[in-house]
Amino acid sequence: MGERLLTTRSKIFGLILLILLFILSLYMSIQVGQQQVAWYVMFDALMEYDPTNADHVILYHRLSRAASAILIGLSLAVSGAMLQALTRNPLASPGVFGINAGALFFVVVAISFFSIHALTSLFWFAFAGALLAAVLVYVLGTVGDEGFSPVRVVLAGTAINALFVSFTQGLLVTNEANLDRVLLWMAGTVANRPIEVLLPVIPIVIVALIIAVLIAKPMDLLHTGDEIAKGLGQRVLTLKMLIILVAVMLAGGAVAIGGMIGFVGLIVPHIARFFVGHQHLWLILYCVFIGAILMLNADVVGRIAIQPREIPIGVVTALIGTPFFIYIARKGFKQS
Amino acid sequence: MMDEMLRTNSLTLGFKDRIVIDELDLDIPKGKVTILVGANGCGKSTLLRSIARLLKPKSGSIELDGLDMDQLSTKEIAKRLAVLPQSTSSPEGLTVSQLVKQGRYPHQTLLKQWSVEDEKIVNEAMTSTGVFEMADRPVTSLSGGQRQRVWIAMTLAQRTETLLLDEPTTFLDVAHQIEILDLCHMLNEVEGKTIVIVLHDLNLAARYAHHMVALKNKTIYAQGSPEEVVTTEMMKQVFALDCEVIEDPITLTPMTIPYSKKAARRVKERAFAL
Amino acid sequence: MKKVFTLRPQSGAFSLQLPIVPIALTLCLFLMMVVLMIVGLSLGSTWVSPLAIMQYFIGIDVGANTFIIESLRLPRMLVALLAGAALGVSGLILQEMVRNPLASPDIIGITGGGAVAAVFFITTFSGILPMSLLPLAAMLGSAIVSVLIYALAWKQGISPLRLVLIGIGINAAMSALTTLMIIFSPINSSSQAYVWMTGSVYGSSWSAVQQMFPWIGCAMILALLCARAVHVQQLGEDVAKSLGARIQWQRLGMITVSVILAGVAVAFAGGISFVGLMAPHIARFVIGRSFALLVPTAAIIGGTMVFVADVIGRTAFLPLDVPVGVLVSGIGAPFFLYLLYRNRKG
Repeated sequence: MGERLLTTRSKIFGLILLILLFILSLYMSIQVGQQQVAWYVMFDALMEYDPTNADHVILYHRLSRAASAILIGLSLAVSGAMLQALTRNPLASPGVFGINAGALFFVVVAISFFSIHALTSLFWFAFAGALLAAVLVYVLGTVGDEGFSPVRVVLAGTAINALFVSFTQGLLVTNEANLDRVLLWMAGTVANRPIEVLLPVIPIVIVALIIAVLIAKPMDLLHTGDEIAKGLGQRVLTLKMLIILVAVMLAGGAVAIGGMIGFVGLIVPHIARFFVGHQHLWLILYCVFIGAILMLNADVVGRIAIQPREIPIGVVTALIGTPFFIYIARKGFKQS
Repeated sequence: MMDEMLRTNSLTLGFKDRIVIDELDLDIPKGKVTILVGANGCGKSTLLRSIARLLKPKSGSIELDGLDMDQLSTKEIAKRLAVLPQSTSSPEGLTVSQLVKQGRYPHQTLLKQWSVEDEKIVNEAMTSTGVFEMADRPVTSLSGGQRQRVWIAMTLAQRTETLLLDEPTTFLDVAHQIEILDLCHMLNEVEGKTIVIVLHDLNLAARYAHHMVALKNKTIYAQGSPEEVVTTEMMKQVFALDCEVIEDPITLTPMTIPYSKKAARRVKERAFAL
Repeated sequence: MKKVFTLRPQSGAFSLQLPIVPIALTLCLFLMMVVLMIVGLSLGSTWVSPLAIMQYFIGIDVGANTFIIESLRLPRMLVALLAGAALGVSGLILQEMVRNPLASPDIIGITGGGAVAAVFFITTFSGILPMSLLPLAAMLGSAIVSVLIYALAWKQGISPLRLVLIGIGINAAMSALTTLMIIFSPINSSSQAYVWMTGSVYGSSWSAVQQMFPWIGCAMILALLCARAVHVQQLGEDVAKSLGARIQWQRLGMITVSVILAGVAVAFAGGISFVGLMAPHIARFVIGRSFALLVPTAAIIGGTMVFVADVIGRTAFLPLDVPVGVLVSGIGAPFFLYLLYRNRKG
């Protein structure tokens, strides 16, 4: 599959365009809503937050939403790109690794058995679930003689995923009272996430992104094949473990904040690849911005489409992203 | 009597808006070994793929036994013409005999899946390519040369008069290259098959070809016997390489010795020493 | 011992090759399934002895047990069996066609289409139209979405990769629509819809069996006829073409068979996931790679997975009747992981 932006210059230009689009989306996300708030109030709110000022409260809410949307979008997109590169399978995504399902299961357990409802505590449950699922998948995928085999990892991932989903379904079907509460979480949402919930995720995401950027070059080599990468002096196994680590940190954080938003991790990498091809540094950068833009806009649409109710962001991303994804799938993947 | 097995009429090939072969008229003689040569990317593989109906022409037509290929069903063509594509991959766990059996596909029907004749032909194909002993081994466990012979056995099991091979010697060592080409030669001599090969090695091409075709600029630059085609001028025009052409001491066919920077220095040193 | 038996009568009217060991294995699996069926029919809130069940099958009157077997347990078991078999074979065909071990009817949107239609039906028409029309709605949904996927993936032919990518795109949109409808509907119909999506054969009747059987029976036979196409396509597109295979027609045929199987299963048993993905892999662990044998094996394994899960679901958690979809992956996944672990030597 060939990229559309061939030269470095056009790639930089595309990136600048994406950044502008990102700023515009962010602005929209903070401005659009039932209550009109003048934009300069934002600076006041940032400088001197006044909880009694209604405008400030609204802005605070919108800003924290936007921050969640950005964090989730970029994390899932990069995580998906990492996993697709690792398994060389265009169908791979954090969901396939069981990360989403593991997180969801832990959250449902926390809600139904421990009656925990505080988001900050649920966050850690979700993260633990994501990590557990990923470790299980990795261990089961690598027990073989030949060590790490992409097909085995993918198969183990789907099985672990199915297992956690079935546990979750079992709990939900037998206890309808929790269904309503968990359903929103399952659909994915960024509503009412206070900044405190996001704080623990930010350093994790930053560290993961730095590692991702550092291993981008070696990942280019990995794309040409294990043996060539080995021949060029790459420690392939270490690299693969780093990739998984980054993917889990990112996806785990995202799921912990926003729930099951499956589509972004699968599809944004394909959209990014359509533009920049297989150079992973560019791919990661493009994923960061495309993921964030998609989520920001999906959130705005979800908020205003059927007021006063809200469409969960996971639903909107899927509905917005699908036509675009199909267009690319038709355009980009020529008959090989 | 027809002398041509295959013929293209003002055939134009390409991808999207890029033309690779332009208005080409080519005759491939019956019962001969024809070898296509040319620089990388000159469209020789594309031409072969199109003759094998794996690529639809932009315009023009291809005749097989005097019949327009478009009019023949793909199964009908498969009974007359077999192809070995450039890159092949065999699924995990498939054994040699299972792969060779697939060559009988165009001759089988839903009800007749394994007749006495099928069995005989598959065994013959495996014997003549020397892979009979490995019949039950998985194809993926074989070496490159063995694997290539298995794939040729599959095309032989098709029992066609014409065989098209796209760079069958790539990635093989010199002994295996000779082995594969000797096999082609034998199939031509003994069974009278028409064989078309795309080949990179000019010296081997000149050895084994009855008819050579050199492609350049989307069309034929030269064709004829190896002696007619392989000349210093052709090498300069088609490959942009300065060469000496001498006589192969074993087969008396033309042989090219290219000049290169290093050779130039050696010649000079030699001259000084003398 | 010869590994292959060749069936080839003197007349030469037909000829087939039959590998002996895998056929024997398939027969063993079939017998195992029959035994499990008898045990499954015995279990329940009332114990019916296996002997009585065998007597029932050979036509001896078993008194009050007749009602339990004939009206309650057998139709439900058969629906589970048929649905599982259909999903297993549907997934098998898709995996072979797109040559991707992750393909299955629930990943590329066939099941998703059925789910959208069914959930729409439940949330909009429940109480207005009779529930017996639900299977029809689901089947229609699967068919429409499959045609949509096929049409969108068509571009001078179908490439498997494009088909799968478009399928997952459509699937994502479908599950988004389903979630949307569930969230915006009252809690009782949303939990009904949720149970449907999980997959359930609760309250299946003989009429369901009668409606499913002809479709699944025909599609299974067609699936067997795909064997030659599957084997030749495994050699790659170029080789298959040069051997005279009309691959686009073959692909259309395979997709159609796969859609019919998945559509019927979804219509009567809901969105049971996992079976379509895993049954073919388990079948391959057992049988190897001969497609003609993988079809019955995947059917037996898929069917067994679903009906065993259903028997456990209706007996182990009494008085609760746990939907079969929950238990299928709950039991199937560990078993699959065990197989994966067992087969770690490549």
